[in-house]
Amino acid sequence: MTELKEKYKAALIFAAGMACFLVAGLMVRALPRVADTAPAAEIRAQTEIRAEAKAEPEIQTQELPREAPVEWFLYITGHVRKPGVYKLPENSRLFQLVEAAGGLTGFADPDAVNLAAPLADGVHVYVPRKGEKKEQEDPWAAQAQNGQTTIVIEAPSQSSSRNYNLQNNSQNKLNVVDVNRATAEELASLKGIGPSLAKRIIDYRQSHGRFKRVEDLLNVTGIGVKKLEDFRNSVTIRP
Amino acid sequence: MFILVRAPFLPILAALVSMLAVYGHVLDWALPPFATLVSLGVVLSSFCESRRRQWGVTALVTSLTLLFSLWIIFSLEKSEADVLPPFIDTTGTVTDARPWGRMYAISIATPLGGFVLREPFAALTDGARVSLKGAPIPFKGEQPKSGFREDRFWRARGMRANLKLTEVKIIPDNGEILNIHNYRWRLYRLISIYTPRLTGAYLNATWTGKRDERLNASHRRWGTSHLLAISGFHVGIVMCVLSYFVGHGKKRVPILSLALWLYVLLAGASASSLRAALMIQTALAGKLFGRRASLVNSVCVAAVLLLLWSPFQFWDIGWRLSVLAALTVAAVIERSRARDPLWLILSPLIWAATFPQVAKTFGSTPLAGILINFAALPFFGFALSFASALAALRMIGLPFADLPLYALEGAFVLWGDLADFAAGVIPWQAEWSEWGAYTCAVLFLGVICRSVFIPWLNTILLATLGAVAAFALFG
Repeated sequence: MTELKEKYKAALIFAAGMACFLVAGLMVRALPRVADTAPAAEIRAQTEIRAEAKAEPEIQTQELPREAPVEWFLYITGHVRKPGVYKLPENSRLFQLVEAAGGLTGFADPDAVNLAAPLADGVHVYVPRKGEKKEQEDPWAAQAQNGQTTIVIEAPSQSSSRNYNLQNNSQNKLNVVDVNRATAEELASLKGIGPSLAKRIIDYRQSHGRFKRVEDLLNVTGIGVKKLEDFRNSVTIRP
Repeated sequence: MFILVRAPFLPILAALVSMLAVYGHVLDWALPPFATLVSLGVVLSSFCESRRRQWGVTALVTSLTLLFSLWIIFSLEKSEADVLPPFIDTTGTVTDARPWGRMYAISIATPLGGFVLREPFAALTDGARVSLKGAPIPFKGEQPKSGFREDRFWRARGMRANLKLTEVKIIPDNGEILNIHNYRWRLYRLISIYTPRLTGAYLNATWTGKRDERLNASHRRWGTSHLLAISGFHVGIVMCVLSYFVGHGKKRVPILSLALWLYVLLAGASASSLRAALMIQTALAGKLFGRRASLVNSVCVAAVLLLLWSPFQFWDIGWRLSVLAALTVAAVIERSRARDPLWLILSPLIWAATFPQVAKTFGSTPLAGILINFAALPFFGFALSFASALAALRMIGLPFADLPLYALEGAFVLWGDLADFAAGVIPWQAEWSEWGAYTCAVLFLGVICRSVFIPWLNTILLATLGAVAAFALFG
């Protein structure tokens, strides 16, 4: 009788073990997959990139959706109370950055900066001291072209690199090119990048997806650290 | 429940391996409960008769599984969320330089983590101190054609990112830089200088973990690549030699343990050598506390500890083959203790256990390996020990020590010719096939189940179910 009981017990425990496997298996099958829970925007963006890669072999840049919330990293120095790098929401304006940096100091020249000026990701802002060389009338007219691919910041004619840490072009215009959306022509306008390298960047973007960091450009054949340093401040990465 | 008596870490290992196989497919929060269920399932389905304190041990095993799985998921997520600095300017030590396609991959340990440089030649040697400036580049994910994941490969080796250099300076070595990597390099040079070519190549593979490319190709053809990767075979030889010289006093276990870890670090601390060292350490610890170690459990403990240390080991083919082969050997030895003559077919069993992984990764595996391994293990067991002793004598300047070394070189050449002949007689390669892999998986799981004395019926069911699950998870 005891032996029979032990036999049933063994069968029962074995069945319980199998039930554990069954539940574990069902768990894997029934639970939502990681891919299913990825943000819709992300999936859409990836789909569009793939579609672009398949359908349009020619060099063209498709506009990517911008639904995902984005934060900008902005650098402010000069005569503010707490200079440094700040993280602000997308489409912030200069006054928000100044507020984040603790406000202007008593030495700052409030007339030299347009506190209402729109900003762009990765921008370096310099707040000059009173009496420093006067800038152009509206040094902070920053605007996005169509709000999509290229952010153009009109720079002051003098000491621009100090204020923006960006390079001037001949028309006193600074093109901060979003590498994830730029066309071949826009990329070719960067220092050290010709049409063939621009094409390679776009090919890489189409085959590997969007760049996540500026340093990812080093994966493109023909771009080394020195070349990247030449145009690093002229590009930005928007998700 | 014999499994709790013989190998309590076996269900934990099975659960963690299953969990890592579905990692990235299922939401993270579901993985620890999944692992716990698998662990509990293995314990319950191996039940044959009641034992004292079985439910307490069952609770302990499942709790440990839950704890370990939480830790592994935490480690993986932490690593995935790693934010790289845009630029680094630091100093570091070269820990390894290995051929990588047409380039060399040089691993450098820095205070900011490990970084990998790609250089056209091995300009930097093990143990060199360097100052670095450059931009860290994230490792690539899954490659579209090969499926190779650079990120997992390097993270299993403690590396954080690739490094695009702007400047690297070697800090001059005036004999002051002494670290284990530097000693490895010095030993590599000494072996290369003092021993003939083939003998030196084998000794370098055994003592420094640096493999000769031509030798690698030959052993791949013979199906004996495991002889070049430092594994339980090499660690076992070293420990056998050392235990002969170390007395039987109280200090025996600490001295052997110290020598064991020094050897493993000197040899580059690969996954297989770490696994072997952990396994032997478990056995030594068991001896210290007066308990006979279960070999299968020792392998499982070592494998679990390696996963806890770096969960990326799971995706390393070295870790997988090492654990599969070691589990097979341990299971066969356990059965031999019960007077089961399984050891007679040890070589084909190891071949079968590793076939699914080898064939899946490399496309095929030579059938000649089954035959060659019968002779290879005793030959290399003797030849490597003998060559190590002779090389040491030659290095300390003993006259005429080079004569037996050249005789041994002749033996290695002869071995190569015979192995080539055997590979010519059996030229077939076993290609990857689902049925072949399925049969081998059932065989392997069956041997493991029998090694912990699970009854035949349960063994058949568990092995079949395990093989089906392996296909579902890895397929």
